[in-house]
Amino acid sequence: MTGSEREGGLVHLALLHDGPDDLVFGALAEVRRALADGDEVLLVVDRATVRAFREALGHDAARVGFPPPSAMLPPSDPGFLAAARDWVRPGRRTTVLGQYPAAMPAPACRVGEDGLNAVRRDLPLTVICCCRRDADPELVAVARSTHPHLAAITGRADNPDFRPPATSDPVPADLWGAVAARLGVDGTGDLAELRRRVGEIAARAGLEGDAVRAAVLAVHEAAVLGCRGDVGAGLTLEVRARPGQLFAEVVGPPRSGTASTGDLLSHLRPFCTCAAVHEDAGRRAVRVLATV
Amino acid sequence: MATLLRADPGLQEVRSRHTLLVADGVEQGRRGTASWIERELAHGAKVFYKGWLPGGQRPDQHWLAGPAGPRGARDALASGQMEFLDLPTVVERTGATAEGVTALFRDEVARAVADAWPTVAFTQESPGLPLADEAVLAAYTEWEGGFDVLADEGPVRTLCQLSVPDEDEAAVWETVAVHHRDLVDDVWSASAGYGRWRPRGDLDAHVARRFGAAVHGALRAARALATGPDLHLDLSAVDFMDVACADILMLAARSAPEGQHVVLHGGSRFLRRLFDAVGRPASVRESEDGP
Repeated sequence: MTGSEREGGLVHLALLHDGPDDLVFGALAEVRRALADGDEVLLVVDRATVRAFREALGHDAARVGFPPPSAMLPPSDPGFLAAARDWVRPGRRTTVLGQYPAAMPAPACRVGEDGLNAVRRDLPLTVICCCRRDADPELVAVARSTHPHLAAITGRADNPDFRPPATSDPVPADLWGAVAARLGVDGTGDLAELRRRVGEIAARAGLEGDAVRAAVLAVHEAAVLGCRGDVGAGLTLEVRARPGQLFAEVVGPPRSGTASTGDLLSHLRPFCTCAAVHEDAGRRAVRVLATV
Repeated sequence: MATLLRADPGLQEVRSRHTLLVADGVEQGRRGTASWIERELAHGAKVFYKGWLPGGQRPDQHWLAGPAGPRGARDALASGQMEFLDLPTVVERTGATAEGVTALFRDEVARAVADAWPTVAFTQESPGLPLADEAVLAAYTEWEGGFDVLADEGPVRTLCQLSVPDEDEAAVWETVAVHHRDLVDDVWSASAGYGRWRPRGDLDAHVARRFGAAVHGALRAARALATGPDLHLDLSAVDFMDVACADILMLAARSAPEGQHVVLHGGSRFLRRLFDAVGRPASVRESEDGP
């Protein structure tokens, strides 16, 4: 069981298949596990695959939703991340299985998939993205590299080809617009200036009153996390804004010493729409999304 | 000791105070001190400065008389408007006892009054005094209380300087706790009046430990007041508070002795949301004038 599963966060799987029967064969273990766990299960697939699922699931098919493919935005759509939030149900996990459209552009798909990993990690979702092996090779490559896990006949497996988006990847830029402010944070003494800049940008983005206060507090706390215990924190804050939303990324060196347990961001989550930590060997990024 | 003429009560409210200036670095502390002394000299005060003279320096070689010092400090030292006493001499003369310190300052006030100076200003550098010992702490608390008495008696202003890098953690904590009623610390400050303790400005992780010390001092002082033991906390001038400071405030309230409450006055609804997020104990109450 992975950390995100234990914490109730996003589980993001790819399923590479050769057609409807192969798709169902590969997904069945994951779908049955979801039903056994009491998840809401949505299988957003074409008619041939619906038929194959009904046959394979038998009576259990009645416990599964089959929305039409038009009900689900593909990862390449700009509204994909917002739509993902709508799948969340209070008090239970949702498992969503969808198919890559054959004509989906690979670069836009990568942005959506990386964005899901980066800023929707806290949602109690299991998302299974199905891609035909004979699809555009670039699209297959995206499916292989953007999913931490693979769905297989035997169940879930770690994906050796998964490459988490580096903090320098243009994912946030593509998702949240150009940088409105960039500043260095060398210690907690720089936090007052950070708050002033974030407050100005939030107001310009159309956030008001407590929404501005919450955005400022959440970004401040993200920076405090990076400053903790460091004399020279060496952080960089980038703030991006679009009407009604502010996205901030605090990038710094990775944590040293023993990894702490529990949710590092629990104290700032009440003050933002979404918060995530992204860590690789060389850097750590804390990302915060605030919306109206 | 001559009794000083009481200033106009309104003026005294502004001019007769005992303030702690907290500085994270040497330059920051010097800037704040220089501007305070410059104002006092401009108002015609007799200024008594107590500080360190490293390496056998003379007072006119101290930073006060250099470019970083207040304008006219060298002239003020020469003319007698400002007097400098090095801290080892202070210790020698007072024996570092509360009685000795209070007597020294009373004597200086008396001399200033005899020389017809309209107001008196005291400022002293960070003493480098370890406050871990209960007896030393008690003496320190008593002589700091002596400055409040002097300020009550006449137009006397005192600026205590706290240089954080020069003091140990316990000394910083206790110095801030003792001065919780009137302190200036970078992005935040605090004052007291009308039965309420009033922090103002930005309370963030950078000053969280010092804010915690001040809360501790305010709670301790409230228990000794006739209007106590509750601490009436006026939040109306707080511009920003982060999770670290909110946590410290709630923890201090939670660990207060049974029967003591923190009563919140003013401040935004957002602050209440923050308190709820970190966990608000039953010992934190809203006043009737809350948001």
